Amino acid sequence: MPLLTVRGLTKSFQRSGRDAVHAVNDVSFEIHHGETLALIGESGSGKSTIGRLLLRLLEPDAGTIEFEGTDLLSLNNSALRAMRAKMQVVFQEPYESLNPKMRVGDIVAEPLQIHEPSMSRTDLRERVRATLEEVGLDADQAERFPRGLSGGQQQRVGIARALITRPALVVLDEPTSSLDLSVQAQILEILHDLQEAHGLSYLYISHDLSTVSYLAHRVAVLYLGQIREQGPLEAVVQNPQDPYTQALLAAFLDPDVTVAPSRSRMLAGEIPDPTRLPEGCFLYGRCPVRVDRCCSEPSVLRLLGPKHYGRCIRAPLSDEDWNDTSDSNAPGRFS
Amino acid sequence: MGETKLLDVRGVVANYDSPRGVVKAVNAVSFSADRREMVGIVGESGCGKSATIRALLGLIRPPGKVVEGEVLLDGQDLLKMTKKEIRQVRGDKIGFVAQNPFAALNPIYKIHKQFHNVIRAHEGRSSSRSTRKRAVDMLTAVGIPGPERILDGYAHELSGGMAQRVVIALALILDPELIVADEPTTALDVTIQRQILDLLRRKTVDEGRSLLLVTHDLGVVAQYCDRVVVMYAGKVVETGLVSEVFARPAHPYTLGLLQSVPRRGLKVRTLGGRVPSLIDYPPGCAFADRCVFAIDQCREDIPELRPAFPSGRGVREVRCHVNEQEVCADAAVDR
Repeated sequence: MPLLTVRGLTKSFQRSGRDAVHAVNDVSFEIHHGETLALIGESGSGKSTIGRLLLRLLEPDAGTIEFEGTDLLSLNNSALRAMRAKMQVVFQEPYESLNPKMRVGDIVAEPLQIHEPSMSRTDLRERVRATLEEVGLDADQAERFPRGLSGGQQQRVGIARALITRPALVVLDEPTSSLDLSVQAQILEILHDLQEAHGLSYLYISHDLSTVSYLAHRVAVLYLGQIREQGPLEAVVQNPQDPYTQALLAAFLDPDVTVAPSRSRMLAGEIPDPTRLPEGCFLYGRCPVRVDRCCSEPSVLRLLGPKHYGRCIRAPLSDEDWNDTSDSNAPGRFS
Repeated sequence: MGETKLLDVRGVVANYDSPRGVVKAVNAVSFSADRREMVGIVGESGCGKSATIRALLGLIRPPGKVVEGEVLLDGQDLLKMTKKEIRQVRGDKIGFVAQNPFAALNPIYKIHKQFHNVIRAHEGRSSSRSTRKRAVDMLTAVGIPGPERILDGYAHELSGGMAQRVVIALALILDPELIVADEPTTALDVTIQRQILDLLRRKTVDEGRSLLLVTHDLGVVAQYCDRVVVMYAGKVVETGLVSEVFARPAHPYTLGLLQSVPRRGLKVRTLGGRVPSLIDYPPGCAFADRCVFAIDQCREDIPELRPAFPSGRGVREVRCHVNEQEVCADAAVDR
């Protein structure tokens, strides 16, 4: 049985006097024990909203969320609070998510004080020390305040706070996107090692393909609040079957100059307004390989390969399909 | 190569006074840019990338001060100019593209007014009709559909990609010879990033300008820039053609940055530690404490820029005591 099963998750944000924003549209996925599922998408794709819905920091309009066999949406507040010890989150901006007036040790101890109020002070201090060491911080840093730490150290505190209740699932909402490259690498390594040590499951929310391919086992590609393609990392990255995934992969600029630059797979325009969802395929307005029936046929996820699902009715897409459309091929220096 | 250097930065030193001492933000920085050339400036935060850009735009304000060096644009030293003269040069000869287009655009003026103001400030009285005509042409040239409508609107009505195109159009409206772009795509979505970089490349190479591109994204440099300047702790530590520097890095810091990019199946090599304080500059090489190649000499003598791989194409320089063959042999291990 999967650790987490999400079915038909839907969320709109109502705005007074204006149209509702359809942020998440009928999203379903599972996360297994010890597995990382990456939700990859651009801004406005609904990926952070999904993370918040899972933790019930937001209430969905429709859909079900089952965690360890329990229907999360049926839980009352106290039961939900107890469940949250097992589902934790690490946020994008480490500094913004730490209370500046609390010492590091108190920040990390707080979740444990809530979830295990009977724990003795000595045990509590020991757990904080052990957790700080696990994320690569010295125990004496417990006495410091967040502002005295570097961005990387702050994010380690955020990870320690998430881990101290020994959760089964951690939602990682772009945990490295505000960090320098060398610091990002340190954080990714810690996350990877922690997963191996504790059998953690991650929902890894990101727009960055290089970190996704480092950390993820499976990938779900989001566009306008909808999963366009989902499958094992290798299948989605090496054999993408949706024009949006292909464009996203082609947009990644490889720092390895010995790798031939990817062929251009450019989409026209930008992400449309999420208040008015397109009819049929959501990508139609930007899609260079579209055909007439894309508008009329229902857009559904179908099986394309082992555990590999995609929405494009033209899949499998060949190079020729794109060749008919593109006017430029290699980027920049190579054109 | 071949044509004259448009920009020649020679030994620029910029210090900031702080209560804790003098911050050596730009420490004898030299580099150049030819016409039709894109030069990338890379390094982590705190390496002096932005301070270098500010120095050459004459934008270092108290408590900061440029204390040494020359910035020659077409042979004219920008650092010797009066405030009035340098204001004229910014815009006329140097166009600037900032990271956040919404901070660069004025939120309370219509877009046309902003074009009008720029043109009037540099060229004196001009009719609204003539500035409008020029703005329409430029917006069309940067790929904005329906430029008339955009001109009568405000910045907040634009998407991030469109706003950045407007900023580029504003930077180009006076036909500058040099474009300085500070993280121009960092705030944009990945599928938009390449549209903007392709545009900047066209405007540079096809129209005979030079572009300085400040970025932390090694992929952008690898795929778009011709030459690269790697900065560390306020100094240039390596320069050369991108195709050579990225394939065979000569400085351990360059190597460390390249190895920090996470890749599937490869353990991320983390560059421990962080950029040292620019106040207490270490006695030897500023990178020595983070460097796996460091020898005793590195902690005693400050290395000078010296030629590296003299048999390669173009000018290649490195600031390191260690033999470059040894450094790049380590890069080869990964492939």
